[in-house]
Formats: sequence, C-alpha cells, structure tokens
Amino acid sequence: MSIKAEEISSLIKQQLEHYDDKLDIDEVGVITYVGDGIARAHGLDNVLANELLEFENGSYGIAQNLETNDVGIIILGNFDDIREGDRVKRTGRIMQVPVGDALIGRVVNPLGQPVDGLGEIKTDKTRPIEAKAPGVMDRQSVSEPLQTGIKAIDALVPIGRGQRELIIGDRKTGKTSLAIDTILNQKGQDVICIYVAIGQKDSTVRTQVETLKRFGAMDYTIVVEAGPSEPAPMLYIAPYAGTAMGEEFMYNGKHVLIVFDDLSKQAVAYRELSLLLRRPPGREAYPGDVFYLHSRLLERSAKLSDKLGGGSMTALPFIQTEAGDISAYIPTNVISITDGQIFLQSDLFFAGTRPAIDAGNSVSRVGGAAQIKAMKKVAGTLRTDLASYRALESFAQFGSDLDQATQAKLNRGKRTVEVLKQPLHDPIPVEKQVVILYALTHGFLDAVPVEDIQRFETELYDNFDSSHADLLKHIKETGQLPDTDKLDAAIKDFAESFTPSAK
Amino acid sequence: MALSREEIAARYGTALFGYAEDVHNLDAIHAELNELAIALKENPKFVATLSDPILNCKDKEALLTSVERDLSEEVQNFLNMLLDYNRFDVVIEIIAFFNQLYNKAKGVASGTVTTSYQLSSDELSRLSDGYAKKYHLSSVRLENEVDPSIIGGAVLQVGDIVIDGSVKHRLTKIRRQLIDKK
Repeated sequence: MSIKAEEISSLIKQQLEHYDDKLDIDEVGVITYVGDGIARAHGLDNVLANELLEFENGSYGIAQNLETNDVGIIILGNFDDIREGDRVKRTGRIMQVPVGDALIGRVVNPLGQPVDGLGEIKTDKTRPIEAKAPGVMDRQSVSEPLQTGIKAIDALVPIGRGQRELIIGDRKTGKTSLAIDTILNQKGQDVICIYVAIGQKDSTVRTQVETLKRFGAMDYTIVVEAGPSEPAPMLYIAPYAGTAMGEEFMYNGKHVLIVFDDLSKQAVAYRELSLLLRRPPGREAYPGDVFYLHSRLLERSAKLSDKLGGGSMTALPFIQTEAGDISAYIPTNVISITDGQIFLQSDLFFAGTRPAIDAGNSVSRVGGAAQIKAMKKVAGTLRTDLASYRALESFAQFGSDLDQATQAKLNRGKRTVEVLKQPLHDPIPVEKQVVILYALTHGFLDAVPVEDIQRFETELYDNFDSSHADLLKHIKETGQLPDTDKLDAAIKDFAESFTPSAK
Repeated sequence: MALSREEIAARYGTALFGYAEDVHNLDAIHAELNELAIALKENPKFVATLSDPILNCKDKEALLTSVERDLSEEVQNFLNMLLDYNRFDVVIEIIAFFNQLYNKAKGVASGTVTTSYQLSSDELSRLSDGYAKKYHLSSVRLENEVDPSIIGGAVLQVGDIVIDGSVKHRLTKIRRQLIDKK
C-alpha cells in the first residue's frame, strides 16, 4: 500500500486548522515524594479535593489529602517514570469516565479505556465517578422483582429492582457463580448488567467473560476490570466508575444490575493508599472513613421515582469472609448498609448443597414486596420448613424411634434441600420455579425417592413445556397461581407416570 | 499531635506580621528581618546553639542580647520571645512566611522566566510589567534563566502559576493533536 505525500500533507493541514494556539496558563506544584501509587506535591495552593491532576509523563492523579504544606495524590496509571521534582498540573476537572450504549459488550478498565482489544469506544458522554446519590424524594420503594433464576434466592431471599443485596461468604463458596448466573438470567429482561471485577485474577475474569459470551450475555453486559497487578488507586475507583456507567442508564429510565466482585479487596486497596497517605489507621488498620467508602457507593444504587423515569440500579456487592466470620469489620459495615444478605457457607458447599445458601442467616429486607404473588404463595412456608428440618436433623441423628409427624417433617426437609439444589449456569424461569415449589409444598414429591428428585424436576419441566404451556404462561403473565385443580391434576398425572430409577 | 514546622511558621509569621502592621513599621521590620535571615543562614551554628534544649537559658539569652543590640526594638522582642518559647529553630521559616504575607500585602511577586537566549533588561522589565498588569500586582521581580531546549518563546513561572508560551510546548501540543486523535 502506498501513501501519497500530498494526501498526508493535506490531512496534516486539516488537523492543524483546528489547532488552537492559546497560551496555556497552568497552576502547578512540585512533587516531593512518589511511590506505591501515591505522590505528594508542594504548591498547588488552589487545588480542590478530588480534582484531577496531570503529571508530566501523561498519567493522571486525584488530589486526596489537602494539607498545610502539601497535597496527597493517588496516581491512576503508570508511576514508574514520575520523579521527585517533576511538575504536576491542575486540570480544573474532576475524574470522569465515558458512559453510554457504546460500552455495552465491552471489557474496560476503571478509567473506561477498553482492554478487550476491540478498538476504541465511541461515546462523547461522560459522568463523574463520584456523584451524589438520589435524594429522599427522588426514590420510590422497591416493587418489581429481579429474577435471579436461582430457586433458593427467588424463593427464600427475593431481590427487587433497586435493592442492594450483599453476597457474603468464604473464598470458593460460589459467590461469583451466583452473580454470573444472575446475569445470565437477565437475558431478554431489559436489564443492563455491569460486572465490576476488583482484584480478581485476570485469568478468572477471562473465564467469566467467556462464560458470558457463550451464553450470549455480553450483549447486555459491561465488564469493568481492575486486576491485582494494577496499582491500588485503580482498584479503589473501580466500583465508583462502574456505578457511574450504571447511573447513565438508570437516569434514562432503564434497569441496571451491578455486581461488585468484591468490595473487601477494594477496602484493602483503600486501606493501602490511606496508610501511604499517612491517614490515621483505626480498627483492622482501616482508615476512619472506610464505612463512608462503601455507604456512599451503595447509596447510589436506587429505585428512582416515576418522575425521574422509574429507572433502577440493583447492586450485588460481594464480601469475602475469613473462616465464616461475618462479625469482622468490613462484613458488619456492609451488612448494615445493604438491604439484606445472602450468606454462603463452605460446609454446605462441600456437602454438595449448591448454591450453598445458608437459609437461616440470609435475609432480604425489602424483597418480599417484590415477589410475584404465585411465588409468595408457594414459598411462604419454605423458610420455616427448612429451619425446623435443620433443627430436627441434628436430633434425628441419635434416635431411631421417631413418630410419624417427625418422620414426615424430615422427609419433606430432605426433599426441600434437594429441590433447592441447582447446577451451574442453569437459571430457571420463575414460572417453572413456582411449579416445582408448588409440587414440593403440596406433597407431590413426598413419594419420590430423594435421589430421583432432580430427575423428577427436569422431567416435570419438560412435561409442562410440552403439554401444559398454558399454565406456565398464566403464571408468567399474571403473576398469579393458575386454577389449583388444573395444576394439581397436571402434576399428579406426571407424578403417576414417573418411574423411580431402579435401586 | 505535634505541630509541623510549617504550621508553627504560619502562626508566628502571621502574628509577627500583624504586630508589624499595628506598630506601623512594616517596611523597616521587613528589611531588618531579611538582613537577619541572610546572616542566620550564613551562621547555622548560631541558630543551632540558640535552639539547643540542653544549654542554659541564661547563656542563650546573653548570647542573643549581644547579637541583637543593633536591631530595632520590635525585632528584638520577637527574637526574645522565640527564645522564651523554644521556637528558635523555626526562625528562618517564620521569616519566610512573614515575607509571603508582606509580598501579598504589597502586591509584590517574584518568579522566573525561561527563554532560549539571554533577555535584555528592557525585555525583562516589559515582561514583568505585563505580568503585573494582568494579575493586578504592583511589581513583579523576574529572574531570567536560559534553556536552549525550549527552542523559542518564553516560559513564565510566578508562584504556582506557569504560563507556557514556548515553541517546544506548542510543538508537543501539535504532536498530540496529530497523533493522539487518530
């Protein structure tokens, strides 16, 4: 390919026409300390808190600490070639990220720059990463359900659009899978998903992105990634950047689901840079404002009033616990900020109960209002059933002579646990969940052997898909239970034709 | 928490400036303090002796009295007070802060202008007059630094404010526009 000299010069000429030859008047400071992702600068007398600053090497920073004789700056990006004595320049702006439809389907870093190699993101809209949360009158209470497609969550700890539901558990208890499955289930639900990976291994994030692609979920998902090799400031701003991207959709009347995976790593990154900025350490060496760090972030997820378009942002923050200790500093903070928590237990996980949701310790403070009527009816007694089963289970290990009622309770409990199990990446639509839970609570499963429950379940779904699609459609469209006689008959027919597997 | 030197300097400097204004002797005190600062910088041992906590108070007072004889009463009081409060180690910072306040009150500023060749005194004064007019100052003292790498034009720095009119900077801007836009 040959390039003509005239073409180049005409192009350059064109560009130069827009060259604006104004004198640059800058306010500068001199760097007195640099290292570990932070810098201190002398001067910059008029700098504002959280203002964006530009270093000589082209990196940007955010002014964090304004002190009597210097300014503490967190550096976003490369700090290897910043030297003591270099100048740092005010920009007069605050940190912003690109937002808009162009980001959907992309993997970006916390600055909104693409990291997926799919080229430039063409959008001219930006939003500040730190923004005020909607006020009291801008909100309304959560009323629509956000179906996760996971039976144990939709039945026991339902999540509504605009709710903040904490997912908490030890490492390797299936927290990320829960979120990925929830994102997969939003297909065709008119919900835009944002997955913010904070300090997750790059290889893991790659796997998640591939999973989302395989199930076609990247068509409505943005992935914001701050890997463990990035400096701490990038990890610190990642959730705010993700929230800013979500706000753009929320304020335009759309529904957003945002997953922060995970906030304990963000708190650790914030602790690191706070200590380097010489802020006084408090409990567990976290700085004094670590509560505000999370509260101001999660408060921005809301259900907006109809006047503002009725958009919503549902947040699923993650917290990783150490050995199931939910009374550590960061877990208690975030539990008190969110509208409920889903507690995952490693004991359950290794015993094969997956998702490993601990029904006793998991709650949803607003979700009940956001459950469809049919689900509310069938799942009403589920929680108490499960709780009494757990209590009886430990008793029954010792005695053998149990009365009939206790036997029945144990039987039902075993089947409940079995029904709530669910394989990975297999979200189930709410109408089918209602059918299986109806069958469970009305005793249709009591005669089915425990090891056949899962086969019974899948075959029941197939049976309903082929011969009782009208019943499913009724639940989906009205949200009410269909005529119970018809439903009873349909399940009974199927149960009679079901052949238990040979022992 | 102990106060930093900057905070101490700011407090004492502000007090000294207010006092000098009250006694209507600002210019004289300013001149005297600057003389003193030069002398103190040349004799760091003197400051070190007077701020040494181990030495006897009486000895330090005697030493100070013998030195400050020719100074005005206000400055003498100031130095004696510093000695009483054990703050003699920050005296140079206090004077520097006093100078800042003085310059601000008088509309005086100083800075550097970087050019590719040595400016004549006429050019320098035109530059400083222009700057003073723009920022409503009464006078600006500029020092000329020569740096051929900026190619042409001038870079003016007064305090935290940099006005970059160098050819080098303009070329970088053009480069950014041509390359980064693509």
